[in-house]
Amino acid sequence: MLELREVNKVFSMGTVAVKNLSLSLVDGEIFVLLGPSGCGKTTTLRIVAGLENPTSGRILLDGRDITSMPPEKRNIGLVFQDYALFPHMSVAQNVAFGLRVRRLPQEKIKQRVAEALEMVRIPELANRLPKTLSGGQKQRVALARALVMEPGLLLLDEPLAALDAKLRDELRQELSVLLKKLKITTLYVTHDQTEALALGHRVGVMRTGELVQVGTPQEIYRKPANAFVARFIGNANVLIGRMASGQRIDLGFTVLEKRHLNMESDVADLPPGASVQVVIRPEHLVPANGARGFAFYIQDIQFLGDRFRLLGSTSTGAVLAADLPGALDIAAGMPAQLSFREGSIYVEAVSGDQASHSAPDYTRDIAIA
Amino acid sequence: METQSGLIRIGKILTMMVIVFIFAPIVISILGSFSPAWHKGLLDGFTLQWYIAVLEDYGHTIGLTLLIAIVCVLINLALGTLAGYALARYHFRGAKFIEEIMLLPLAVPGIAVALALIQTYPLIRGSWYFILIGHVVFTFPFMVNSMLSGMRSLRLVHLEEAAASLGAGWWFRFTQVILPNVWRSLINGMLLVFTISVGEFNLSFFLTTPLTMTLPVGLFESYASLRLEIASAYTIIFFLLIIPSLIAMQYLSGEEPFLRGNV
Ligand SMILES: Nc1ncnc2c1ncn2[C@@H]1O[C@H](COP(=O)(O)OP(=O)(O)O)[C@@H](O)[C@H]1O
Ligand SMILES: [Mg+2]
Repeated sequence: MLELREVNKVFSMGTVAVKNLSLSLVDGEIFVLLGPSGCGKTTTLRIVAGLENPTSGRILLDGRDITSMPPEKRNIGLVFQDYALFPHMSVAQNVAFGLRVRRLPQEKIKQRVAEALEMVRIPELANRLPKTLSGGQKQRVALARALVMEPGLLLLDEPLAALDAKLRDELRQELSVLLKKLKITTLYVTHDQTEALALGHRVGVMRTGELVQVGTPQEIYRKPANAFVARFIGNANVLIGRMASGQRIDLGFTVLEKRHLNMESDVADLPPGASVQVVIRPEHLVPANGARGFAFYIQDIQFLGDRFRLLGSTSTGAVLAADLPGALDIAAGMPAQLSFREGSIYVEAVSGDQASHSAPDYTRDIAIA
Repeated sequence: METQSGLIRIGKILTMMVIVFIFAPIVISILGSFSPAWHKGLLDGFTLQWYIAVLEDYGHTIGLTLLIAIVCVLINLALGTLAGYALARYHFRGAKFIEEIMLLPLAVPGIAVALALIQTYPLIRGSWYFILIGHVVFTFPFMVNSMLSGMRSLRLVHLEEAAASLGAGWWFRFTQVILPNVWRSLINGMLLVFTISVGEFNLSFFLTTPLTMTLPVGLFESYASLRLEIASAYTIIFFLLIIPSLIAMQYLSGEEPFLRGNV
């Protein structure tokens, strides 16, 4: 079990890379740290690995304080973003490296290296030099090299980021199966929300060094803690509305009924006129089909394979992204009538703090990855 | 296209002229060293007498030069490797400053180093250690530089971190990961130091005594005393000492480095 207690990291130039980060992983859990580039994910991982000293805070592993333990004593496996394979050693020698450090007998080393290569499905590459491997193959070697040590904790720093889309999906699925089968406690770092939601038992969303929300993928998706999380996960539209009578919400261009809200939304106690934050995911917008909807002026249509993504604006100028299934009889430049899927919209009271924090965000375009 | 091929032709001719200009003295030295009389070339026959004379008169300078060069290489091997490693590995406060200081002698003429040494350590003047110290001071930056460039291009810090995460302590990392990856820079640095030490004149000239004469200083003396045949033979011996390491360096730098890049 890994525990981070109020970890801070300030670099010598004054950059605050990690801010007051507390976190604890359960045994066998895959915890994904998710956040945009530069938010401090790698730094957090390096602190856990012992490659960086925290400015303050403690790191505990299985109840033991390892904050000042050198990395070679920690038995924490680490897979770097850019692999860091030893260039002068073959694949098998790379994987054997840690076992040689432990002075295991030759026979034993050979056997475990073979098993590890089998596990990542590259036994045929044993005698190749790293420079002759593709990115995906290098990543498998790096993984085998870490797994063969049977570490108490595995750290993965954007292991799939450097691969092309198809390979990334393939390896992600394999990794998911492998890690869950081995029941190895894993701290996985990525900036890719799809990866995070697919792999993590829990996901921690990071922003400028701070953990802004921790939860299961479903919790984070359905009940984002703030506009940042909502946009970062699933490209949500985030709007500000005003409470109207009967738990309805006035968005300016239309009014949300109570039946549109999801279970997590709790607006019963809010007085009319109160500001609320409304999270509308692109897939929660549906064609009105004759029912009362609102006008949506389409500016762009993108074909995404299984659906279309419409970008457009409402009568008040609010910019929205809407995902609709195929077979659409519309074109850019046309007005469409849209409505909301029932039980889908997450609404939350805007606290004074949050309002001032995130207000400038709303004037920006919606984040579409 | 016309003018370009014209330019290329002019370039080729110029290159040939430069080569002739550079090699002519060497060829003349070779001819002179085997001829009974310098001004007649090989017309009067072939002789090895000047080589024998060099070994008799200046044999000790060859031995001393080699001794100094080899000890100098060994000292640099130890100090330069560690200094290069420390500078590449640790971003400690003042690392940049130390790097500048270490590389400073590159820009300082040998004479200045020699005079500084004479003033600083007057007591050991007259011993060959003195010349050795001068050579170490003078060649150290070359060694450090060679190691630094090798280690930096390797992203060595990164590899060492990977090794540490696999449980390897410092000694294991240094011997199993770092050295096997920087041997090219290491050998290059050693050859460079050897070549510089063997051919170093300015510093040696100031630090020398008749008992601690090195080859280039002896060579100067033989030319100054106008014994051109002996000087020629002496020059050829000098070339024979340094040419192998020059060729080796050329070979090392020409070969495709197999350890570079993102791995
Ligand atoms: N060694 C360092 N020295 C100074 N600043 C650093 C160093 N490493 C990272 N940073 C800074 O810390 C912040 C977080 O970096 P990092 O942890 O690499 O982010 P991420 O992995 O999420 O992209 C960035 O602003 C980065 O510039
Ligand atoms: Mg990173």
